[in-house]
Amino acid sequence: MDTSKAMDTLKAILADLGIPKESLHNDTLLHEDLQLDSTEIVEVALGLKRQLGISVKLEGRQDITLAQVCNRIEAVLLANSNSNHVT
Amino acid sequence: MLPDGEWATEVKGLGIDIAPIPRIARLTERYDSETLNLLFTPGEIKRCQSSNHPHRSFAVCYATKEAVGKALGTGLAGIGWNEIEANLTQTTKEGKRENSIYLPPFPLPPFPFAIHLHGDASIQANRCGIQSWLATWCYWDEHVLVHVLAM
Repeated sequence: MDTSKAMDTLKAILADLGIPKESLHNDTLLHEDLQLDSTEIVEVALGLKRQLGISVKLEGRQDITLAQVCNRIEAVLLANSNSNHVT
Repeated sequence: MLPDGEWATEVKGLGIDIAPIPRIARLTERYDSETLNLLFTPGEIKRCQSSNHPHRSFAVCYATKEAVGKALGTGLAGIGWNEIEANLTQTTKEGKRENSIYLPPFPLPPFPFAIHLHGDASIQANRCGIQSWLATWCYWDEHVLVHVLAM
């Protein structure tokens, strides 16, 4: 999955939470800009799990942008892919 | 403020969280058990689904994870949600605890329950010198409140 597909999936999940698509950009911060609370962060993680089958950790001491979330998505997908090739 | 006494010096952490039941209910109804395993342990899902008040039980489990994260001093950074497990079934429907201490059939809140940690949550608790947990929950209107003490 490339970055744009990961971003499309993430934006669809956020839009499903009722966030206007026009407010979603690569440098948008989850907490500061979107004002997501902990339950909404959980919903994003559950959405990623259901749609992509991956577990992405979104909690942390620092706020993260949508682009950084996509980086984490790709890192998990890559790790999963590599582990699948190990017999 | 904690009362004076030896036990007060043993408190290693304190956490509290309030969760809105309808929002947690929305989560648990939208996703299947496999997806919910990211958030809840299989034991929590099984116990909550068989509870007389499944939505409330799921909300307590959810709030427990947040409260324990606060008591650990790290929040949930680096800890999986499903590494923190709440077991609300210490008290049976007949009002008896598993250890046979009698409780009234309809105990008044706050209700005690057990916490079990796994994986990185358990490691973090060991780092903090935490050996046990005291946990209670109560509810009002559409919210649950969970309060935990790490000892």
